[in-house]
Parts: sequence; C-alpha cells; structure tokens
Amino acid sequence: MNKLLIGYLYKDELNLYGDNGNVEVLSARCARRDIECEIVLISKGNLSAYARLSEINLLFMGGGPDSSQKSIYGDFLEEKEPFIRDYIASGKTGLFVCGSYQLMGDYYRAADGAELKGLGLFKAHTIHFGKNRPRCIGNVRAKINSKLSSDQVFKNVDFLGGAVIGFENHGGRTYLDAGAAPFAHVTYGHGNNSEDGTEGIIVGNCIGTYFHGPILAKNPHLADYLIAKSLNLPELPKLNAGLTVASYTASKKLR
Amino acid sequence: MLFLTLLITRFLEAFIRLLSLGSGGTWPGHVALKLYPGVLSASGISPSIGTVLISGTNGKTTTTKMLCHVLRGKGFVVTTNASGANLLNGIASSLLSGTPLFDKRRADYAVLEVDEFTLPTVLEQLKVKGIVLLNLSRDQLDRYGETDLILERWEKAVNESEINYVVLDKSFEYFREMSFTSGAEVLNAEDIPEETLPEDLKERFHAKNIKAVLTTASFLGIPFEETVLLLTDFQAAYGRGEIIDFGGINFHLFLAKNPASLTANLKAFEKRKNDFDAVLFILNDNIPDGRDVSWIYDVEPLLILSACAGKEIYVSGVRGFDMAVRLDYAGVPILEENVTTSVPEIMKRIKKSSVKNIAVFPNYSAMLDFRKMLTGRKIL
Repeated sequence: MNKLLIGYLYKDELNLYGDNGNVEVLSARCARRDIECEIVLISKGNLSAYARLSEINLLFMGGGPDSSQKSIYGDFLEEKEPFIRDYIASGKTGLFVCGSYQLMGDYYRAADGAELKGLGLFKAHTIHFGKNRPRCIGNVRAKINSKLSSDQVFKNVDFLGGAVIGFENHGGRTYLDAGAAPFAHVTYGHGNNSEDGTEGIIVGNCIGTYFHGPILAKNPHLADYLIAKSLNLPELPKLNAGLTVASYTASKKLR
Repeated sequence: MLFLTLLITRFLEAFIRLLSLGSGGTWPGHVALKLYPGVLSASGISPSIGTVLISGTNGKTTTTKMLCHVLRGKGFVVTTNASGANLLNGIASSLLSGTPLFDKRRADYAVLEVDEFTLPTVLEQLKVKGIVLLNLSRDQLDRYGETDLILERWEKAVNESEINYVVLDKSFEYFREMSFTSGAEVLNAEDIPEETLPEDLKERFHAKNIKAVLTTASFLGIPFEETVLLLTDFQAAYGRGEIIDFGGINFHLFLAKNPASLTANLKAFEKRKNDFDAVLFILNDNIPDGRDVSWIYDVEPLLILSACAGKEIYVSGVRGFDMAVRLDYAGVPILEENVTTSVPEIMKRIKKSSVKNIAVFPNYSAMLDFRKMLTGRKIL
C-alpha cells in the first residue's frame, strides 16, 4: 500500500483553532489501519528545499491571527503559488481551513476597502464589512454537496449520513462565483456568508471550508474520505466508531 | 454622592446575603456604576496605600489570593475580589464593599484580579499604583479575539495611565516586545532564580505566580524571606489545586480552562501521579468558557497520553464527547461507559468504582458547577 504524505503548510504560523488537530486525526486514523503516514512541514522559503514535494498526496493549510497571515502572505503568493496551482490541477486532495480558504480565493476586501489579492485558485472572494455586520461565530452544521457525497469513495467511508459539523469564527464573508461548487449547504449556522446557505468550496479534489473545531476530529468520515481519496483506495477498513458517532450525535443538539 | 452610592450598595449587599443569592456579588457594582458612573474615580474609594491589579490569561485568581495573603500577614487591611468577579461590575462591588461608610479604618491596599480584556477600561477609571501582567495566551477566541490585539490595548492603557510600576515576566517574548513610555518602573519577575523558591511551594503552585508575588511584595517593601515565610500556610484558591472530600473520595480540582492551563496542570499532575487512581475531565462550552472548544487540540497529545497512562479515565460536561474523542486520538484508552454529558451520571459511576483519589480537570463553568455540587454551595 502506498503512503499518505501530508504536506502541512505553515504549521507554526497558521494554527489558530486547533488546526494541528486535523493532521493529528489523519495520522491517527492511518496508524490504526497500518497505513503509513508521514508529514512534511512546509514553511516559508523556496520549495526547492523539499525533495519529496511531488510525492505529497494530501495538502493541508489552516488559519491564523491577522499578524501571522500577513507574515506568510508574500511567501504564499510568490513561493508557493506555482506548486499549489499544479497540485490542484493534477487532481490531488487538499484541505484549506478558514484563513487559508480565504487566501486561496481571488481577493479579500478588508473593512477599510483595501484589497488583498489571493491565489485565485478558488473561484470566490471574501469581503469584510467591518463593524456593521457581526462576525460569524458559533456551532455550525451542514449537508455535504452531492457532488462530493455521491462519490463512491465518500459513500464507502461515510457513516454519518452525508452531514458535517463544526465551529466557525470568521469576520470575512465569502461569495462563490457563479458555477463554483460549495463544499456543503448549511443547515444550522452561517457558512460562507450567512446569506446564500453555502459553505466552503470544492475545486477538483480540494476543499476550502470555514469549519474548524477541528473539522476532521468532528467529522471522521471526512478524514477517511481524504485518506482514501489521496491513496486512490475505493474504501478503508472500518474503525471502532462508537465514540465518534456518540460525539456526532451529541453535537447535533448543540446550539 | 459616594456616600449615597455606598449606602445603596450596602443595602443591596445585605439583601443579597439575606436571600442568599450567591451569584449576586456583581449587582451592587452594577447598580453603583449606573447610579454614579464615575464611582471608580471617586477619591473616597481608594485604599490608603494603593491599588494593585493582576491580569493575564492564567494564574490571576491564585496570584491575587497569594499577594493578599502576604499583605494581610504583614497586618495590612486588604480589599480584594476573592470570588473571581473580575469584570468592571465585580471590581466596583469589591471596592465599594471595602470602603467604610463612617470613619472606620480604610483599607490599606486593594489587590484586584482583572479580566485581560477589561484591564484597559479599569485603568481608565481607577487610580492604580501597580499592575502585574502574568502571561497572555489563547483563550476564548470567540470572545476576546486574537492575543496581538490585547497586547496592543494593554500597552496603550499602561502608557496613558499614571501607574508607578509594572511587574511582568520577560521570559515571554511578547512581554519583552512591549514598550512602556510613561515612566512606570518595569520589574522583571524572572529575575528571581527558580532554585531560590521553596520546594513545597513550587510543588503546589506555578513558579511564575510565586515569582510575580515575590517581585511585587519586594517592591512594596516586604523582603524575600519574609514573603516566603508568610506563604508557607497559603491555601489554594477555589478550584485551583483544591481538595474536596465527597463521600469518601478525594476530588482534587485543577482548573483547566485553556491550552496553557491544561498543559501546566497536566504537567503538575504527572509529577505526583502516584497519589491518584483516576482522572475526570469536564468540558463545557458556556459563555464564560468560550463557545469554541477546538483549543483542546492545542495541548500536546504526548503529554495527555503520558499523564493519563495507567489511570481510570472519566469524561463529562456538555462537550464531554469532544474531550473523549480528543483523548482517544491522543492514544488514551477510553471506556464508552465512562463518558457521559451528565455530571451527576458520571458521579454515580465514580462512586460505584473503587476510586479513592481522583484528579479533576474542569474548565471554568464546569469547575464552578462541580464545586457547587460537591460542597453544596456557591463559591465563598
């Protein structure tokens, strides 16, 4: 069996909402199935330092405080853009949470009107309306887009009925371009913008989302989907799901 | 005006006590601030020597209690907010309650713990001699926002105030980067070498809190040896290393409200693991806790694993399952029957077991509720 090689972008800078937990969950769920899993930490600087870049089959990036996002911004746009562009185009899997989801879009318009160019790989843009509109904070639940949930790999690993749960905390509101596929449709909470019911985005086999909590700890089926998809496996050996199912059931009642 | 406000708050205090409305401690302050918005600036409210504020993410309650203990041991009359009511209302309540109506002895010192977000507002209104800044780390992101912004607000508030001294810990880079331009004397708590602290004190309390107290006390004219001596009979604040015997089982309460405090308490627990046969985690997501519990993944899984190894594990609270899943991913074996969101239910199971000494790691509201259940009353 081949190995899951997770490329973890900017671990030191972008780990605001327990993002690290996502990588911990992926590697724990691999270990329980005797799937080899390794993590390549990708920090600021030139990518030529990473010999196994082409072997990465799951790319992960979290979110951070404003100051940290500013500190990686230039590097992200200049040093990482070509790699991420090719990575997504090749159909490999990725997960971009919160701040990094925003940075993958076309632009981010701050409350003062200043526009920050994004990577433009996700057909979406984000606007911060300042104090006029409250931050989107709280527990959130959604139904995964059928585009993803009808994927046979997803069906094989899903034991939670195509739903996804989490916690969101974002000031910016994200709007998808016409034709872009949301990751999910919100059933409780705000999602992308608290207006159109969409949450996140799917581009190729990459997911952008506002769900943290961390998302993969709360949604083990999504973690398994990413593992299977990254390794080109039709399904994965089942794990004891008692606790995660109980946790998921309890979460559904949360307001 | 101050006299009238004092009269009214005294009446309210008596009323609250009469009806034993335990949580009503912040009402008098709330009413006083409404009646007399400038009450905190009134000169009659100031203690005769000065006010010290203690703020930071972790250690406020313990450090405040420690400093009060030392000052009281020296014979000073000290006003404080021992209940931990550290927002503007609670601070006003404590100060008013410590101000005599007639010409009885006024307090010498006020030692007040202040919520990190509220500190600038308090500094604006209250005449303060010194502040102790303990630390700042991730806590309640949904309420406070990011730590950078809090540091900026602190720096600005200190520079716009007339305080004489700031005690802080320069081993933290974020404190080294702060620049104070108001002429306040900056005292580095880290100047006290760790090995000079008595072992028994270090075992029970965080060294950084002890150092902050020693530094402040020394600035106030109390020599190092005397402070150490005064601290020998210091008892932990409620829920912070406190031991409560309930039905023959010793519950040791270690408040664990954010990644830094859970990490520090797990490390402290590990050193004396043999004293315990079980661990209970209680995780809530009420407003005072912060609604977001993702922080449990900011605690090193290897630390969780080594602390829990060999102990019976129980998990409860509104977010008990989130905690159980987190422990499970850290590699801790969890029995599903030892996980329930209901605290009374988990207590039944603990009572049925052979557990005699259990370490409890509750977050904030969980600690208050649990403590109330064990003691049958609210704090203080």
